[in-house]
Amino acid sequence: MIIRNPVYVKEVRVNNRSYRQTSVFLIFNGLLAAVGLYVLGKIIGGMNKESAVNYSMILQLYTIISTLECCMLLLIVPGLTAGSISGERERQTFDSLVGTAMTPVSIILGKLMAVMGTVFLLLISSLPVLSLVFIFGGIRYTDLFWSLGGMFVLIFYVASAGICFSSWCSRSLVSAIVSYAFLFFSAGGTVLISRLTQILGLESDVVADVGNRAVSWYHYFLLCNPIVTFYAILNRQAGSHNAILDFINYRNEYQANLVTEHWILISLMVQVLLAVLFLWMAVQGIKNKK
Amino acid sequence: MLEIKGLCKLYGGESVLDNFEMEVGKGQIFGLIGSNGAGKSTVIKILAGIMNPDKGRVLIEGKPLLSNADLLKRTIGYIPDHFGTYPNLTVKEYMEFFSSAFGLRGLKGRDRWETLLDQVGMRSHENDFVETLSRGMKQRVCLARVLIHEPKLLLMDEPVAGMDPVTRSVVKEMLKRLKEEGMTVIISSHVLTEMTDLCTHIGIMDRGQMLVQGEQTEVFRRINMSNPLHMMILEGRDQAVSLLKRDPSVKSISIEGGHFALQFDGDEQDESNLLSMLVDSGIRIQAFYREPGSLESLFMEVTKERSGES
Repeated sequence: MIIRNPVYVKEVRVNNRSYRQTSVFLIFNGLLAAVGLYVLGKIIGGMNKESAVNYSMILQLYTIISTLECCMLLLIVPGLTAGSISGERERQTFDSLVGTAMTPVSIILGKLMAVMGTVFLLLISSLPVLSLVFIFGGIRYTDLFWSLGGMFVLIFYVASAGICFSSWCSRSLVSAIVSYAFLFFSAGGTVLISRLTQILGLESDVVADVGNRAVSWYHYFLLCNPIVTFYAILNRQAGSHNAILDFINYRNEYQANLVTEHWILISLMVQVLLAVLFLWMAVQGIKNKK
Repeated sequence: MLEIKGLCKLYGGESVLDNFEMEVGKGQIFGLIGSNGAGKSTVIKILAGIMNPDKGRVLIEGKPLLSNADLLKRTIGYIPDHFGTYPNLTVKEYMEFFSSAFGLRGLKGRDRWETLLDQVGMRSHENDFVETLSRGMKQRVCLARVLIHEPKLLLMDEPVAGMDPVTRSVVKEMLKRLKEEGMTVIISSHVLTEMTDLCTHIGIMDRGQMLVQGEQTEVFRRINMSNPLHMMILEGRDQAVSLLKRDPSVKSISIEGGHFALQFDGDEQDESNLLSMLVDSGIRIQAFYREPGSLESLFMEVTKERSGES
């Protein structure tokens, strides 16, 4: 059904023939390979010096490559989605597109699938670099699957937001700025809210409540933070099940609860729900432009 | 076929369409004429479902059009004034995209767009990238793609702007064929000379209102009556002047040699009576005709009347 979506087929054709797409693949994989090989070289250098395999370094290699890949994808996606609908307006193809028998829902889904298809290709193309971590063992295939799967959901969230902004903004440049602002807010702003509110508002209670406080509501903003979710995924794979509690509990004041214990699942669900909301708003954006 | 009643549209508090009314019959090629800002494109966009009116009804074959998205998309074919193209798509892929967007896939879709490309003379360019085509060629491809789902009503917003002679002739031929097939076409334009050739019916709008509409020849006939009556008199000029002065329908006479130009307030029957009277009086007349109107003069006449009223 997806590959029968005319917008998806058209987008794939148009994008795959563009220099921009080729450049994105080249830079993405080039940077990933350069960093991966550099860290691998460091590990091998260390092994030669100490004549022993340091497995924590292998885990570090995995963490560095995965984090870099996730961050690069999060930065690439707003660029890919910025012109999805506003670009149609700028090219003056919007009226012709909405004048076809396609519904706004199928237009939005076609655009989303095209972006997710590109992201999927980027993930697949990065597998050779990611497989560097298998040279010495220590990382399972399922770990890789979960980190890539998690990354895919996070990208779905950011891509949906980008398409929503593109649907409401008339110009791609404005849409790109709003999308990046959203990304930086959800990745950095939520951490800032969590930390600043904690520091400014509750300083006096800390000593009395050590280890007994319920997690304050403002920390739940972090559920919308794709970087924090990815941080939790990587830490879970490294064996730390309470990474989020450690992250917000730097003054050791909070008790664990259901949300902190199932942070990954809940945050992925929250982000999927938000993504669906963004897609619904994108559809309304097309309808309301009449 | 199409009935528009009481259409109103405000843009930023300013009225673009003010109780706009229009009727178009099946198989008509209707020219919607008006100066820039008259509201032509707004009417076309509302009919195409791209813009919502604030008030008013649009009926197509008696059924409300705007509230029925499915009927609207099946019935309407729309060529916007500025039609963009996609980069990196060939003509063939462009047509494939639009045919699948209208639910025509596989061989059925292919047959349809191949026929249409043949009709607009673009089949030989099917492997060329749309972006590399000239404006005229793009217009022809655009015409082909808008006909893919066999719409009953074709809307063309300012199609003649920048049309080269080949494209103009292809479009003219195509419109003739579509008219024979029973398709209704509405063309909006301010390039009046082009509309005379293309349209069977015309409607003149100004400041969001329809001022005059009907069959082109009928509208011209009505307006022509206000044009001067010309005569070339070979013999009996003085006698002609005295006879004309006595005729109550003659409002003014201007004479230049044997050429008489009269402001004559009468219909075709009155013209015929005047000619008989002059001939019976022994006046030798070489030419006797009402100055033919052009779409420009008609447009100026109608809009001038309205300015006078307001």
